[in-house]
Amino acid sequence: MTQLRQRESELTAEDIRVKVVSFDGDIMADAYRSQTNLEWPLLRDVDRSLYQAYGFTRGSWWDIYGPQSIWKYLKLIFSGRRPGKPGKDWRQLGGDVLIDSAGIVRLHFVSENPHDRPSVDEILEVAKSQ
Amino acid sequence: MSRLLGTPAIKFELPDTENAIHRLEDDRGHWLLLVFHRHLG
Repeated sequence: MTQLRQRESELTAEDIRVKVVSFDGDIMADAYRSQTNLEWPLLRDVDRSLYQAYGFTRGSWWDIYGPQSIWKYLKLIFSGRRPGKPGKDWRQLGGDVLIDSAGIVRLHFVSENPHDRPSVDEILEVAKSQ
Repeated sequence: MSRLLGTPAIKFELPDTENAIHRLEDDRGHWLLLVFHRHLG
């Protein structure tokens, strides 16, 4: 998310609108918006119907806290930041869907662990290639 | 490769934190990136 926000102008240049989807409830969502100054819409999919429709599943304990995650968390801590407290369901994984101007799915990325996301370059490349 | 690539996006109708309703059709004519968060903690 940080990388996306840092390169928002490049996304805008490609006419890519961004909407964030969360399954957390009102209180968590409001707190997140105010803490992060998120300007993109934060959509609430509390029953996770859209998560499920796009195949974003719950990970195993190993998916969430495997070596790759431990390494990322350690880097976060040593950089002076703290991992956030787990929300309602710490096993739910996320992902990204890029939809073109005609409503066709052009990128469907299902995260295999908490840190597994497409790069901004990959997203821009898909948009530019169409 | 995902079976969803090249297929019509799944329709949705979801509220945001201001209770405004967002639908897939709202962004027709523009690219749309949906970022599905893990949890907001």
